Amino acid sequence: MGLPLPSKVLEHILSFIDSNEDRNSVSLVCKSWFDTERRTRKRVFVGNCYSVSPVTVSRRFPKMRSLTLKGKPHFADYNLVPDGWGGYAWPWIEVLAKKNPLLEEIRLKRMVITDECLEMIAASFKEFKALVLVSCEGFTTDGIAAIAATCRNLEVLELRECIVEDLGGDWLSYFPESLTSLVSLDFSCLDSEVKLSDLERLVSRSPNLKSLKLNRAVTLEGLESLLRRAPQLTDLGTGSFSAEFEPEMFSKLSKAFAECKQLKSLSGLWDVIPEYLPALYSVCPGLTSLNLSYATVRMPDLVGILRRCWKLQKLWVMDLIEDKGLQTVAMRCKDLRELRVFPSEPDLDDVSVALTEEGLVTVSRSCRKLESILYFCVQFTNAALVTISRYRPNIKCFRLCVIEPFAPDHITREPLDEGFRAIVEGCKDLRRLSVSGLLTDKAFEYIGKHAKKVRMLSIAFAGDSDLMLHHLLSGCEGLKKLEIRDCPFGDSALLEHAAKLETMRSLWMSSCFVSFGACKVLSQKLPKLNVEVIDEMYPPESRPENSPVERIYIYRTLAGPRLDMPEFVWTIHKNPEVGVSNLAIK
Amino acid sequence: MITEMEMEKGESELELGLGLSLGGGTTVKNGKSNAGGGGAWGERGRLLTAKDFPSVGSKRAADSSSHAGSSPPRSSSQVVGWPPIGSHRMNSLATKSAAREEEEASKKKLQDDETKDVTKKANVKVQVGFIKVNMDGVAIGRKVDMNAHSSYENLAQTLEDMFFRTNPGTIGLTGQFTKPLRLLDGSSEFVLTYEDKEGDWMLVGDVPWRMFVTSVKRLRVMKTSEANGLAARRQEPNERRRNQPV
Repeated sequence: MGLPLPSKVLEHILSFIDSNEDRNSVSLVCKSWFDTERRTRKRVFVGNCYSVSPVTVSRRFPKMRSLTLKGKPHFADYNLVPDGWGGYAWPWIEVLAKKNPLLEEIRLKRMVITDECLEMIAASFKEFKALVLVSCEGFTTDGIAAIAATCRNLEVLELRECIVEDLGGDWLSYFPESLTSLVSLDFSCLDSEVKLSDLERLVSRSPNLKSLKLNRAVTLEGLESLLRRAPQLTDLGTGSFSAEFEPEMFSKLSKAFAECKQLKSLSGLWDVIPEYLPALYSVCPGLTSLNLSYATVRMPDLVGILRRCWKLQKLWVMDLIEDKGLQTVAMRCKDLRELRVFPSEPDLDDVSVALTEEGLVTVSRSCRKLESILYFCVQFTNAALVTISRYRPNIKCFRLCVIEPFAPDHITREPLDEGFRAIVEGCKDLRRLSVSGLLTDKAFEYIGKHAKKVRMLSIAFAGDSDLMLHHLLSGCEGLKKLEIRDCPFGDSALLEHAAKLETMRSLWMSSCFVSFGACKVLSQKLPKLNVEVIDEMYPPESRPENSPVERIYIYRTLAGPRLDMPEFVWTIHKNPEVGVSNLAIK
Repeated sequence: MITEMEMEKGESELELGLGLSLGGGTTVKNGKSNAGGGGAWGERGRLLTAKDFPSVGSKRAADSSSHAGSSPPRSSSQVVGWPPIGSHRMNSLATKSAAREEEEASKKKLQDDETKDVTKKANVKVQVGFIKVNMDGVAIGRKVDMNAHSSYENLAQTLEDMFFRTNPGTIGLTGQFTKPLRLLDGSSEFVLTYEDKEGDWMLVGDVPWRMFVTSVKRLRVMKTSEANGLAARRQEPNERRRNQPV
């Protein structure tokens, strides 16, 4: 029997371990390792804010410096989660303010955070450095002003795709003249115009500023002025890239960009006027990341930029790039790792046809490092999927959205089962998969069998029967998050494989045929799960037990049923006598 | 609505299993499959198509017994959350579409105005009914749900509870408070004011309640001494009753 490792030595060893996955493994070894690990963990990640209580987390990690929290399920991004469902930051902030006052960084995704919360953050954490809010809502620009005004060591303030009640651009003027520590500022999702002179002064006194993402209201002139003051930027989000073309403005802008010799990432580019695009030419050769997904310019103009971006690793673009434009990408951007192609028309009727499966095939063939794909397309074929999988077995993330629900292979009229089979068989490191198009249960048999490392799976308008879910839940060994909408399976597969749900983070199902009765059984038999029935039409008890509910969200939790549910969310109480409530009574 | 899909099996047959086989009912032929065991699909061996889904707006006339068939008409779909594009992107696209239509139809100036309006409507989230309330001298602002109130009295009561109760944490519409405020009749040291959609600050109480609810952007409990010169005329207490909604 060996001597136990002195905790100081273990601490030192652990200081080299950053990955939380590794740290989680470390903490399972024995009690003393658990204890040492928890005392030294600085960055804490909670993937589902309802899976554990704030007090538990705070107590376990007393030296926490950074907390990342995720709230609403992913399908909230597509308006499938009704407003008011939950995901409140307040209970967390309240606890942390008291128990972890040395907290420096808060990162929230899909959570509801109020101005009061923001004010509390500003007031409670003296060393606060970084606030990153992604797809959050519930606050106004007043809350942002509080952060700006009070956090004297603020380095990072990023609002990404948040829904903010915009009360004006004054918030920016709340950054005191003494604040010189800013490294990253992202206010791209705000509407109101900020005072340019305030922004200029802020940028001028922030020598460490590396990332600046402006909102649409900032003009080209404003951009030029800011660039002159911050040529050290590595990450830029422009404002509206449009103005009446003036040669003088163009040459000033070109010159300003030419000075930004460290620029690696470019985004924004709303309302682009093609005549101004060449002003970007000087930075193209250095770019590793380019987001053109808001730039509504045609293929020739896009190509003009892309053919110069030979170091590009990440490209987000609209389908305006067309197959032809993707050929240029395939030829020039040999270092490409991630490609996302978004639709330029939300209305199915107007979708352009110049982007087909061929575009993606071309890029997959030529770009050897391509491992992450998100592709919206009107149609697809099995042959294309097979080709892609053959050339790119290294794909880790494959999200294909065939825009028309139930669309088959447009040449053979077959379902896309065989195509997705090739993807899951060929891409052995696949971590994330979204499927679409016409798919039968067979497709899910293949996925269940071969997608061993897939952690997140998204399915819509697919399958024939319960078999579909049966295949998935009896296979997919690595599955953590499953989200399904509008698929025709019912209760039996879900009940049969209920134990699997305890190995996953969460399961979302909407517009399927799961009955309230099944939910009750699940909830009562699996104590570690919260089974939430989200139904805006009827309280589940008012209907027959076998009638389907609108949506279900099932997730594992240590915290028991939550107490902050709105009236349209029902949790089935663990005690069968209590029955169903939407005010969870302990 | 979903009657044809309703399960026929009784609840007693719903049981938990741990990956046991589904039973002999499973057959797969020609791409069709029968669901085994239980569930709604006992007799159904057909390929389900768009028309089985109430939430999908487009109705495709797909042949259920074969996969061959004419190319479906690409009909527009009113399905919620489809295609799966984030709301920020959707709003941006909607703005662009609206702008393009206007450009074709009318002058450029008009087009710019329309675009701004659409953007504003699309991007500003309506946290239905909730508006911010600040009070002079109190650092932390609060929020109040306009939809939860039916009259000025109601609202005033809530605000008095919010800011003057001894336990500031709870909001209640009943309860004791030591100093009745009477925000609406000008007899206390505070008055209730509001900012309307045009950005003007006015005294609360002049317009009919429903009109007020649609035009109020935020509230402020202001010191009476500072409220001089505000847009609305202050009402006498006995006049106030006439403006209450019926």
